[in-house]
Amino acid sequence: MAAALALRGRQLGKNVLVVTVDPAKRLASALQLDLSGVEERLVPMAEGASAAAASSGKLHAAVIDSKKVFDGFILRHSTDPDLMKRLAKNRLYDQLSTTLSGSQEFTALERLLQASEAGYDLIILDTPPTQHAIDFLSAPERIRGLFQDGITKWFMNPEAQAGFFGQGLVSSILGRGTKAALKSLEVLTGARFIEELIDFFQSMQAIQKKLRERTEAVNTLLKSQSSVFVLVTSFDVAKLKEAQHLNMHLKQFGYRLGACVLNRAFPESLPSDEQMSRADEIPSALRTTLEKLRAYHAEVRRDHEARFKQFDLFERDLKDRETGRAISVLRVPEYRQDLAGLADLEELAKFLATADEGGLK
Amino acid sequence: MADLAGFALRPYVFVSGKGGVGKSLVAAALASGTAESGRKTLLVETGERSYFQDFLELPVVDHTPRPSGLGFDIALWSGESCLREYVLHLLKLERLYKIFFENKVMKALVNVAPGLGEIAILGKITSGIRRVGPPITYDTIVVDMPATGHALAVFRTPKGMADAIQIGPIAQHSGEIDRLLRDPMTSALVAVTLLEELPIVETEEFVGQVHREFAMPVCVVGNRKLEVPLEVSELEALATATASASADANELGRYAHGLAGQLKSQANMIELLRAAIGKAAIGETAASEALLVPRYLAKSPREMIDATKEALRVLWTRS
Repeated sequence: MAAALALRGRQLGKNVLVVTVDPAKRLASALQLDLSGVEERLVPMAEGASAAAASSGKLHAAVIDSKKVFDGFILRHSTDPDLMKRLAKNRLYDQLSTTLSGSQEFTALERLLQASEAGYDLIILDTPPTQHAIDFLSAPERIRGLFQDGITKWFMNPEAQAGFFGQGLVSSILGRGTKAALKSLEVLTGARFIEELIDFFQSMQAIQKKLRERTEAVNTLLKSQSSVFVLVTSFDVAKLKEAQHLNMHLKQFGYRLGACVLNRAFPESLPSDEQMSRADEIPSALRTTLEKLRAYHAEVRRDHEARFKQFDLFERDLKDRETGRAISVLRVPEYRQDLAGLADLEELAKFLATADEGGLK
Repeated sequence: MADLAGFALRPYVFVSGKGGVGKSLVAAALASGTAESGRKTLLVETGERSYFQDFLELPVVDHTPRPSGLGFDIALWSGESCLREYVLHLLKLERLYKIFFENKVMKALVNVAPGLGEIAILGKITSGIRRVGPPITYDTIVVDMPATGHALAVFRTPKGMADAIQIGPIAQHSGEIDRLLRDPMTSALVAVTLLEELPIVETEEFVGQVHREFAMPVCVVGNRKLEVPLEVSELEALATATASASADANELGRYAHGLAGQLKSQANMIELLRAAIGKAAIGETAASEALLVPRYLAKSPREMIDATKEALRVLWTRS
């Protein structure tokens, strides 16, 4: 869906960047590009693209390499030339910058911020496959929380390596509660874990301020008028409730939901009951076959009506945070063929444009 | 399909798949099926928010296992809730535990301390066999895992942690958890996909990776198989008969033609899925065939779970 939205941007003649952290390389395969090991790549026009589409629009695609973005961040913002070398040896850094807790989210948002400074008209960020979008949005805050002054202070004292929980300077700046808590952490995790943790925090100290600035900048950007969230959800009642929940959270934290896309909401073509009943020309030999098809069609219709009822209720609750205007809900058909390749995506992009009544402009 | 018989009669069955392929439904059907076969079963959701609470219309789903009304118990385990329980168990003292968790900085630390949450959840899941923490009495725990990429990261955490820390309780626990993940008699993966090209390709990569890295037995489930009570030839005959008819009847013919096209492309996708399973080289251990679950029309969640159980029955039937 991110790729289709990006293509729509290009169709409108914009200079577009679509960014993904999806480790499954879905974006790359949808756009039929090899995105491995490159910063970003120009997406070619599909063969037979209309002249209008080929006008002035440009589309770049990029896959985020979490480790690279993290390393780059540190290299750029550190005043200490040896920091990277030290971090390279720290095993916790290795984990933080690659697979774990919030690192993908953090690097995705850092990449977004970089891109926003690079002069694109439109940047589409395909969010990481977090279970819930809220985890994604709170990731920078969580990482920032980790590097608050209060926390890093614990780890500032070089003596800490030797006797972290001893009577040294460190303990004098810690409240009794925190000392007890850290002691518990040591019991739980072992001294080696704490050692790595201390080393990690001491190293990260150098870029603490920058980290804070960047997360604040990301937050400002996400809450500004230039950012809008598009929620893509499937045709499933429980998923809808999740979407409602997300919408509530977005409002609460001051983000703006621009549109909701219901993917695979209806079959590409489903005749009306009326159309199904007119079949006078069909030879009598095919009567039984026809009845079977009608019965099947009726079942499909019932299924859709029941679900659409749920969706109507859902739609009524979606309102823009400022204007109170209803948020457009785009119902995307279930395409007969699996969407693959640029030409198909261009079609989907055009569909999005016609289905939308202004929410995505 | 004899090699799939009893596949889910293991202590830990992890269910994953690309986002939106219906892995939760498959997980619920598995849990219900293993429970029916006489094993005490727990279905675990991971994360902060329950999907099944809405799906099954349950009053509450949280850290404490509760009956689902479908024969199995259900619980929602997050990194924080598992860590909390573990800390309380280890520190014994409620006072210390309170200090630990009510300390603001400690909270921030636990939130991001790399891998701690993942270890806590896997640790809780495997705590029965490892005899750590509060006793767990389930014969089978079915885990509704995060989507493929994230699931792989979770599986990798124990080894990463054990390698990084090497000594101390965390290292020891991580090593034990990792061994259980790599024990084919203990852990198995059910990978769910749609019968479409991109999800199939992704599934092939995912199961190949998990199988190579963890020697974990893998079973692939193809979900939402379109079932039309007509043959392709019948549909084509209707389409041909209406080709020169009025606009409305023509619409009917186009519908029939469309369905025929969908069925044909689906048959190709099923072939592709079988080939993918073969290519991922997981055939020798467990599944050489994919199980197929139909796409349901106008069915309630419980009806869908029951119907899915029928499609997956071999997994808890002993050969």
